[in-house]
Amino acid sequence: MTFKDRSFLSIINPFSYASIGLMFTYQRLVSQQIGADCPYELSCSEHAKRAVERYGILKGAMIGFYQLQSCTPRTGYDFPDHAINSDGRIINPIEIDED
Amino acid sequence: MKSLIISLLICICTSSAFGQAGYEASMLELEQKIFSEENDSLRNELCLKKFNLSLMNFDARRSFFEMKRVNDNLISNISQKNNFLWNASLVSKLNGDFEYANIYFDQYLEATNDSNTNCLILGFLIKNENDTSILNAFERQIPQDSSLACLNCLNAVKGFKMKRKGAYVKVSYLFPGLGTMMTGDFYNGIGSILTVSGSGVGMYYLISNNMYYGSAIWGYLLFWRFYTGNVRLAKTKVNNLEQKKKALLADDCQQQIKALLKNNQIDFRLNK
Amino acid sequence: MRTRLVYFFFFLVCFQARSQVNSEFVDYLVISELNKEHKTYLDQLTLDFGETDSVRYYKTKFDLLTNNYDSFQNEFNSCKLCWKDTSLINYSSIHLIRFSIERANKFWKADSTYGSFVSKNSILRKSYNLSLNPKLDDSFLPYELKFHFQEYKSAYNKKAWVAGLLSAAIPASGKLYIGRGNSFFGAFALNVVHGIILYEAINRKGIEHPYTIVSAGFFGVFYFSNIFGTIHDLKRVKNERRKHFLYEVADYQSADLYLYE
Repeated sequence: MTFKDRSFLSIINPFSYASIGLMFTYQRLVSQQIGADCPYELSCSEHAKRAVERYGILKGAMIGFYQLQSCTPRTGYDFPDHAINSDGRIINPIEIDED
Repeated sequence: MKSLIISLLICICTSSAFGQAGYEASMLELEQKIFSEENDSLRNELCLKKFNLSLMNFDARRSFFEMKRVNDNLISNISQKNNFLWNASLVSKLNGDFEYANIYFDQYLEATNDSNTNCLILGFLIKNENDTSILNAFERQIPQDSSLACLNCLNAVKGFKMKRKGAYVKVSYLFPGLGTMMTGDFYNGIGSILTVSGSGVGMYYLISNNMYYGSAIWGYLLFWRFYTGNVRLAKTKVNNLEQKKKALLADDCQQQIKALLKNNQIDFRLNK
Repeated sequence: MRTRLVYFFFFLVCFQARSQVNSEFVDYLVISELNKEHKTYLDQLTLDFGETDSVRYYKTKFDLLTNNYDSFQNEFNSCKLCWKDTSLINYSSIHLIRFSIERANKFWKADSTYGSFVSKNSILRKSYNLSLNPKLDDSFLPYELKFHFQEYKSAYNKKAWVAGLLSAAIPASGKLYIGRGNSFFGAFALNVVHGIILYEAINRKGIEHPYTIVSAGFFGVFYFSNIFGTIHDLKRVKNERRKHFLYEVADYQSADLYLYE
């Protein structure tokens, strides 16, 4: 994500950087330990990281935790075919894809 | 005036010839001929020409495509047919389609009984990518040649399996993190020890404070995930280690084959 | 002699213009999947005869065949023959909408500018307008597509505040409302489980204990993210249903439509 795409709140808020750092640490240290396997194309931590970068800590964290709650083996059945990629994972862009 | 008209006509006719200079234009010209040709064997001849042209231009992907259009049964000239079979097996191999390569190579061998070293090397390289039984059958067919002995390394690479792989996993069940550490990944091994023991201590703290629900829930959400995750991690790491060792062996084998290929070059055989 | 020469050149020009593109050969190249030869053939025609309308027509088709959409739109805009071919316009709309709805819309706009806007009567174009405003008349939709439209319409009519309120009352129930029923149980269980942890922590350790504060934090984050997430997800659901409806219309309209005969 480029600097321009990020929200103003995300740029000035030090907590945004702290939470992005936390996510990064989780990905490096913990993710492997639990053998995380997400039905989404972007893993929960990656999605949360990008959402915080894009929308700031509050909205970003909310979006991130919402995906974490939706991470169940049956989640894929909620999505139409066009929202599933060739690997069978749910396409979950940060921005809602109007196109 | 007559000469003017003739020169004009010549210009019109030759303009297309000048425009068709170059590989793409030649390919198109051949395709146009194929399109308008009604005789099957002549059509096949043109397809073969197109295949050879793409080979001469090192267009491997297109050669593979053109190869499939050629019917080798319709090639009347024996030497042309043999060359086609050889080239087809080589092109298929270069494109990673080893089943096709094997079929064409077997046909070539059947037709020529070629026992040249470069032919045997190509056979080894193709059959190595197919079933082990196919490779073994081929090995039995060829004469024992000392210069080809190094090709046995292909078999060794193919059959390579790390010993006592299960032990790493079993150890991880008993002592979380140890299996991962045994694969040489101390960093993640220590990570496993810390996460499993940390979540275990947390569970114990909750139980000792009579918070049984919390203990059960956190136990499932964290301890159980870390514990099973550690076993999965050990499995992944041991598989990675096996691949790494296999790659080292394959590298060594590749060096030997490269040295062999220096003296026995495998090349396309194009009709003059 | 001079008149003969004029006749000769006239014949030459007419003959060349008529035989610019061998459509049978083009069809053969398409069936044989010989895209490189196809491109060379069209390039050669351009070199020989210049950018004529018939060459451009085949180039446009080729661009669509190879998914080269930028070049396709440019070629199409300047090709009079293309704008006269209704089946090509319909085929292009169907192809483009599967790639990008916005691009299909651009194409329709170009049709109204450069062409005679024949696409306005197509089911796809009408369905696109209907997807923007589902209150419009939907009687043009055939029976097979009505169900998909109703599906989209019901998603379109869903209110964000209702979803939020439901999620606040019973955690994750908003998911059922917006049509994400399969992940309802997981999210509901997670909220309940954190509620239990918090309840137990308050009972055993009191409200000021760090463990209680951490548990409250977890519960709060899951609870509020569910409310907010459901509202946010509803926008996505509406968008997904809209796309699904338009893709179904495109599938329906694509029957008996071919780029090459």
